[in-house]
Amino acid sequence: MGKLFDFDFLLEAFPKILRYLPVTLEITFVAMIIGLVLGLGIALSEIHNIPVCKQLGQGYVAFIRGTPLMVLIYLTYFGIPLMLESLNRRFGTGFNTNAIPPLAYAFVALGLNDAAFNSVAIRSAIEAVDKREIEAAHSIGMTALQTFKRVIAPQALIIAVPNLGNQIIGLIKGTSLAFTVSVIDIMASARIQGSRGMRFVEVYIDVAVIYWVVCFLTGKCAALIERRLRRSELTAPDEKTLEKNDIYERNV
Amino acid sequence: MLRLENVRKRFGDQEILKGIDLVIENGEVVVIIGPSGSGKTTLLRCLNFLVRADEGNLWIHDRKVNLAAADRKTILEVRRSTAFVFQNYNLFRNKTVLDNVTLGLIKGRGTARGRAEEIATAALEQVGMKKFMARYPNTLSGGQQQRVGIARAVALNPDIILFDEPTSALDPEMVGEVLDVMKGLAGDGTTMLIVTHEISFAREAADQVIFIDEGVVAEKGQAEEVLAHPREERTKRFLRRLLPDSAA
Ligand SMILES: Nc1ncnc2c1ncn2[C@@H]1O[C@H](COP(=O)(O)OP(=O)(O)OP(=O)(O)O)[C@@H](O)[C@H]1O
Ligand SMILES: [Mg+2]
Repeated sequence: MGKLFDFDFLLEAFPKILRYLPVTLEITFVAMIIGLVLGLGIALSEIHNIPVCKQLGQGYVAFIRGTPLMVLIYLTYFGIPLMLESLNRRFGTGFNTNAIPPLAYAFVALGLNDAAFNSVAIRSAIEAVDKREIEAAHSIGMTALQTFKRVIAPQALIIAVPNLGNQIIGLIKGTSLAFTVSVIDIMASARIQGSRGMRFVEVYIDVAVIYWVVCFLTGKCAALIERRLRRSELTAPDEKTLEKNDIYERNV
Repeated sequence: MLRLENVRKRFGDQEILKGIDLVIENGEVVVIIGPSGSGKTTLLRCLNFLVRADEGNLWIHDRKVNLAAADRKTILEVRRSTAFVFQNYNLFRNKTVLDNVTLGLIKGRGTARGRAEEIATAALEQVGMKKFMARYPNTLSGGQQQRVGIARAVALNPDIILFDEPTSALDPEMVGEVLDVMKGLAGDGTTMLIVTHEISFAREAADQVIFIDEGVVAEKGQAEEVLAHPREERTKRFLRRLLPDSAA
């Protein structure tokens, strides 16, 4: 009888799986950018009550919230080629749906999913900024855009960072579904290694460790960023040193 | 000279300002007094477009501005020739004291950073806050924060500074330091429109006192006249409540 659990196999498979970490990170990164930009857009259209955009955004968020990620991935995987094909037929465009790389579906599906949840986090962060400071900015003659850039965004960012950090961790875990549309990431690679040796627990432990480390580091990064951004709320610099040097540190 | 004409504002079915007129000469200190809810804050906010009036005109720089219908550009211009000191200071919490003061100069007025810092340093010196310029607001006392709020307004060198109960949120022992700064400004000829309940300050620093009640100017005149010898019954009643042991 063979071994129940093969630790050597676990160790051998680990570097083979780890080699695909860049793919996982790439999906995470691109989907995160899509999620942030689109999420910010939805949040702003809701805050500023922009007609049509606002309703579209709300409908979108409601739709995504009620759709399992796996379903969303399949919808993009089968839906996008369908849409392009119908454009081809109607307008004679020449999209080659077979040429779309699997990664693109992962980017889109995970990005769209992330955007919905980000928009909620971003909106509540922006709304949490003290209205009185916004009025102060207006009173000293700053335009709406200047106020957003100088007063609202920096503070909303601090408030949003913990949430967005969790969002990114969710996104990293979500990338593990990309194999369903034949993306080869660490998850797909683990499956391949597993079936090759007919040993699955070992490879899934490998992949779990990788996800765990990446998520852990992401969480640490978010905490670090938050701490750095919050330095304005830390204690004041020492009065004595200030007077002695007669200089001041500037937050650039 | 700055003039307000027929300023009206309602919130829902409540008419808060029922046609306010007032004239402020250059260098004049005008104090507005009146009961809670009479519309004092609303009036200041209308003047600075933090609230949109339903009706009314503002003359500033011999220019007539419609408070109800001004466009974005006009609003910005009015805001850039006025400044506001808030009851709760409203400092930018993520900016140092210095940056709080320079921000309006750099962004609102387009002043170069170096020059803005010179101006801001001078303004902070004037309110006695220069040595705190590297601090963040939440490390300062209320009185210190309000002095920074005043410096932020002063640095802009506006045609008029609007004060909305600048000492109401302060602990009693800090009221004096803020009022002293304001008296200094009055002495320098700064044009100020001040809502306050500090009657002794008004008596000392104000040229003109305006009593607003239920959205109308119920009485106005020389500070001494209105405060010591009010003509209207409601002014007398208000002052008696404010200063129970005074003769007024
Ligand atoms: N944004 C608003 N929406 C609805 N009602 C408002 C709003 N702002 C002010 N009010 C109402 O307008 C009235 C006048 O308010 P305002 O703040 O101008 O009074 P005030 O004279 O400054 O009083 P206080 O001395 O208490 O500061 C109050 O009844 C208040 O409830
Ligand atoms: Mg008020």
